[in-house]
Amino acid sequence: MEQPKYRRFFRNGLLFLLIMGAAVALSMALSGINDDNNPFAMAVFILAVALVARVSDGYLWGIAASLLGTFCVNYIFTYPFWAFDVTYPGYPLTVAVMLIVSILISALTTQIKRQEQLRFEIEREKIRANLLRAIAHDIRTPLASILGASSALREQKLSPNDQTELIDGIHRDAQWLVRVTENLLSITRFTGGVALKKEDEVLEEIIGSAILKYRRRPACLPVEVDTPERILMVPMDGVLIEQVLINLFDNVSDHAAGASRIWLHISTEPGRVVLSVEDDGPGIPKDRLSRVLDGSLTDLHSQTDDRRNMGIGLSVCRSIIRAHGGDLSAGRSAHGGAALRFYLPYQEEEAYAG
Amino acid sequence: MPGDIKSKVLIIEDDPGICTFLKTTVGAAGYDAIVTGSGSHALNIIASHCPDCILLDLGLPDMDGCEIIRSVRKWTQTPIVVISARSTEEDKAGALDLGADDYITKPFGAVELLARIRAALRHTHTTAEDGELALTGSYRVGELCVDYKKRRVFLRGQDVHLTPNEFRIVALLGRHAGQVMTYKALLRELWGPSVSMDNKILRVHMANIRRKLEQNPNQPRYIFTEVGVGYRMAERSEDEPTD
Repeated sequence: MEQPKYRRFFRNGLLFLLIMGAAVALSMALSGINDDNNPFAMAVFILAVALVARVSDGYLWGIAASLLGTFCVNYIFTYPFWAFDVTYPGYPLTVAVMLIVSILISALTTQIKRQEQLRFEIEREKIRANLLRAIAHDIRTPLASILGASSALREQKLSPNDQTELIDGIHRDAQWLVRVTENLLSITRFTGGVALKKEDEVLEEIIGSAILKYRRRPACLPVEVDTPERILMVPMDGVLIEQVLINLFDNVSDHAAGASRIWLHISTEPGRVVLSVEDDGPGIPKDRLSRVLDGSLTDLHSQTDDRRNMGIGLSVCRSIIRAHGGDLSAGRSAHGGAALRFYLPYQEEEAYAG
Repeated sequence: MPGDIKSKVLIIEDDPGICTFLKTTVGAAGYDAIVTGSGSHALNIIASHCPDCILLDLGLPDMDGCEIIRSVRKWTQTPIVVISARSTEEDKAGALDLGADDYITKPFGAVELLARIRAALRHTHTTAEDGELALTGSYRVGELCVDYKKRRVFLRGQDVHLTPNEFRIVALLGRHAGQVMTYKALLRELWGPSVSMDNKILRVHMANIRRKLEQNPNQPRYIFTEVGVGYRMAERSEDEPTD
């Protein structure tokens, strides 16, 4: 946290110099017009002090501004000019007024900032609580079924057939829980003050690895990729984008009833690379398109699926892509089903040909 | 492997649940399982029992798993399979660079675990001197053949015309088939220890190799990417014929 502190110091110092400099310049320009005692100088500097106190953090800059302001008014703009005269009758009053103005405004500014911070923290707490509730809800069902199945296996005399069925159920539920936790772990890679770790990755390597992992699922679909001849080096956190692709593939096999195949289309546009995961399933109903991605829609494709939803998976995808500076959108595919398109920032480099 | 003497597998893992799973799976597959949850105890066991394979969880309560790899590698080449969590690519690469042979990512199933143990044991049983590579001077997997004598790579009998650098990369991966080679290890072997750590050049070479060897570079059959760690050359599965 050293760096922002430094930066804030420089920002405050710069603003301080700018405002005070402007005040001196303005007063100087005005003093040419009227060469007597300069009554406007006082007003200009009080304004300057108020401004510094408002835009800077904490009290120190405002107090410094008021001291410098008093000095300037006394030294430059009050008779005797270009001389410091403490016996000047209004001097203590000038100091007091400027100090009070700066302290008042600094106090107000600090208070406003604190309230903003507080509001922000409350908001964040709320989001966190909602997320926790969603997660707890998502994992409770499979946990209940694992607990039930294992206790039945332990305490009841079951036929071998029933036993196999229960064990398969436990396996399926555990796999589902693994997927949920992998997604949650993905989020922790770039939230809570952890910066996204971007490196140039060869896109086809990430895609290849994602497909390999997806194809290990028991109910996976064939994935068809159109490969660009060129090597695309895209800055990203490879593990996270791999997770995005796996989630999008999973989403098809979980929700697109009757889909027989997944297509992954890759194209480049100026400044970005676009990936589109498409299928030939029933597609997403129009009235749901907008709500599919934010996780608020918990009954996506409810007619085709059981209690599980990948709402969390898609909203994780979107957070990951947005953290990369891209975006995710849902629409219709030319293949008949749904199309989930996302793009990542990408600058073309000619050097990689051959 | 059906033999007179059971291969000994040492399991170093502190979580009781995973431990039970590992012990049962390894035992049921016909290996002799030795279990410990402590790093210092493990070092004693390795010295006294000489296990044929070590399964090592990096997160132990009393010792850093990497310490164990380091001290074991000082005196024995016993294969070490690291058990690691996802999301820690640096740890995996670090463990491999220290001398671990392979890693398996939690959570994993029994089939995957046993495959890794078999692969690790095979690597010690067939060292470069008596393996196929030394006998025939070539490495074959699927329709791919890396000919070390002619310094050429053939796909379905056709020369794929790799550049000298590309050949060196494929040759190196072939020599370590089935094992993950980290970017660091590849760079060091290919261009010497002084090479800069930027692995971009390596990535571009790999992409070009993929275009020559793989029918579909997005779904490779021969060279796999381990995201954030390195590359792995496919290993001939046991049921595949030798010729």
